[in-house]
Amino acid sequence: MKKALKAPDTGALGNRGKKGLRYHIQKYGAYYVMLIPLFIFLIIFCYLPMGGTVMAFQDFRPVRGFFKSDWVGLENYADVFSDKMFWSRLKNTVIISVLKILFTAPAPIILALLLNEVRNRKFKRTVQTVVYMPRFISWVVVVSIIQSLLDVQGGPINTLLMNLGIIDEPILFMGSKKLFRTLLVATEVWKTVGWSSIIYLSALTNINPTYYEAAELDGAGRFQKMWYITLPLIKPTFMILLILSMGSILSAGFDQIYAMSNSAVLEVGDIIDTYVYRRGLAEMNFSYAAAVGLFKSVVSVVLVCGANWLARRTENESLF
Amino acid sequence: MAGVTLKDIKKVYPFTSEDKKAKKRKKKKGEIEASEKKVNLQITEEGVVAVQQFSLDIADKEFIVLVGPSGCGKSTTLRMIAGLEEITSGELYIDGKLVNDVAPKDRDIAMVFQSYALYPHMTVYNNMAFSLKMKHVPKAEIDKKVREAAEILDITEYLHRKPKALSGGQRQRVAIGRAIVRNPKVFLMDEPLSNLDAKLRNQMRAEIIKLREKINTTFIYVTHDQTEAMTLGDRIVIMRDGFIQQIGTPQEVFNHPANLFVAGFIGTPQMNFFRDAELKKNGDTYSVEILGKEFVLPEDKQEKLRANGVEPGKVIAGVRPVHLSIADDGIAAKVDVSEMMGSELHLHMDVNGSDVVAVVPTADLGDSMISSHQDIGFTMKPNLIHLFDPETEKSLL
Ligand SMILES: Nc1ncnc2c1ncn2[C@@H]1O[C@H](COP(=O)(O)OP(=O)(O)OP(=O)(O)O)[C@@H](O)[C@H]1O
Ligand SMILES: [Mg+2]
Repeated sequence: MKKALKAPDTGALGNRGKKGLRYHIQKYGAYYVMLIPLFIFLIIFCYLPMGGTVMAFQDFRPVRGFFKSDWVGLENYADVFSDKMFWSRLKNTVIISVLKILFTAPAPIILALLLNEVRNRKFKRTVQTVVYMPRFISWVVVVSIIQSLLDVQGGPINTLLMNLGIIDEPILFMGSKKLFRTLLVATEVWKTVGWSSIIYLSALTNINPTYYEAAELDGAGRFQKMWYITLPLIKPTFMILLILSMGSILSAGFDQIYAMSNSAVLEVGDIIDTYVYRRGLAEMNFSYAAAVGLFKSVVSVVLVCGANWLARRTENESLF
Repeated sequence: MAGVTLKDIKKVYPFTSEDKKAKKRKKKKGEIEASEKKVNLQITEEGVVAVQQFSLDIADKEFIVLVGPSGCGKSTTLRMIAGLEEITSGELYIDGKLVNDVAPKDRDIAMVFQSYALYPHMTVYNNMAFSLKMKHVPKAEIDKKVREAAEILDITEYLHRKPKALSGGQRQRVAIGRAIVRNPKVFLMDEPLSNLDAKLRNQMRAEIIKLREKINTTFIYVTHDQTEAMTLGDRIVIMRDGFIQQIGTPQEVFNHPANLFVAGFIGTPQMNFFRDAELKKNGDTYSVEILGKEFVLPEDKQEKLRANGVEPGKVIAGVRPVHLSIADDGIAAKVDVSEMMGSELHLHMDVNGSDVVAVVPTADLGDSMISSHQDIGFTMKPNLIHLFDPETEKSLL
């Protein structure tokens, strides 16, 4: 019955579809052509390497390649999950990530709000440019700057603190287990805050100024306008960025930590990525690295979807 | 008591850096600035003059309507009263107090914006409660006031919705509700109905009249729609290019327009102007010749002309379409288009190459309809003729 009813329908639709498609290609063809390079990029650098995840289920030997290595099922995972080091590194990773999110999420909002209040255009632009800059400096460079600033022997920070009488002897910043995570978060905030504030600045300029006029007539002062109008209106942007940041909770910033850590702080600073890097490359244990990589991806997808679901349920705001 | 007095108010918007850049570019190109000035009277050395020489005394509980074409400075005037725009010069008094430098929130005024400006993230209830919350009014009292206002506006059932989930008319009510909970001394409205469709606009117009009876306070209402102005205002202020053209009751501005602009602006269809009319003086009696026909003016107009010492000569005569009537021995005309509107017929006529519109009640015509392309004659009652000076465009009567 259904089929009989449907058959002529599909025919008609098919016809229309064909016409529509031709029209569509004619109209938007140029845009599709422009998309091609991006697609090629994605395929080469994101999709093809995915094939490599088969390593996670093999006892991969580079000399044998993907096709001749032995299949070992979930043995690599058993390896990973029975590895005490893995669990301690996972804990480190989550702690560092959460600390970073805790500080890097609100910091750009505050910066954007402050910049938004600046009336002098030139000053505003100058500040903006200066705070964007760190993003373009490689972590390796940033870390060497930090190292010389915090140097135990005659580093400016230590000298200053000594001269001010705050400390009696120089602090070994880079080798302190207590301070390492603080340093990680502080440098991360310094490096990313300007760049992240761009999104909030554009969200702020998108707020209809009549809301502020209405609020002014309603008797709201500067801070009340910020609290009752601005912040609620940029909340969707905040939520989206927060949901996205869930995806990198198991990453915690390889470049930065690889450049900054040393054996003294390994216990608090070593994260999954740096650990896997050492095990995977240094010990040539590719399968172990691939298994961890896949594990990370799965957890990230689950976290992003979970956060998205939670945001939709509680705040009615979601990414997808 | 909450009258509003404006004394010689002027508003100049300084040129923005973009304006200045555009000017420089033009200078480079060698364009002459004098011609620019002619195009827009409001652009001067100091900036864009949006409002000038604005003086008006608004009585307590009066409903004043500011009306005029787009860009004439209505919103600017209203925003200066609200305190959202700085007053360049002049004095503004609310309730007898000079408020030029008083912050908007301390002026005790409420404003309904054209775009409503409802806070999108707050429910209707919170939108209406916001100003009271800012004033630290106790919760119970806020609740009482919000519910009262919602009752008046018939929006009680939407109190827990967000503005996005409301229709235009409902949003409009919320915007008004947000203003009335505060019980302001002065109520400002900037084109509150312009975003609504024609039917809803008529309905809301009636509601504003009702609302006014309920919350007896001073209203200053901006619109570019002359029907709204005529039906709502106790007095109407007609503006053009930043200048007040006329202030008066709806009858006054309709019956005695101060100048050609007001005459053309108030009333639909627009008043017919006969630009080559001639004022004649026969002894002590004035008469006006329009399209070859001579009309002797009635005694009251005679007196006014005499008192003003008007010399005979070229004048612009104006007659409203409703004041023209069909007469076979009248001025000969050819009907271009005949529009049947139900109770009346709109005739667009061609008289020696110029357009004249007449509105004739269909009841007077009986069964004999006037169709397009028909030759007819029309005439007018001399007491309904308006006369304007062709130079100054001011009314001669
Ligand atoms: N912020 C501004 N800077 C410069 N010029 C302005 C500014 N706001 C308004 N103007 C100018 O002031 C004049 C009056 O503007 P206003 O908004 O008061 O007009 P309006 O009568 O409300 O018109 P409409 O019916 O279109 O709302 C216009 O010529 C406009 O270009
Ligand atoms: Mg306006």
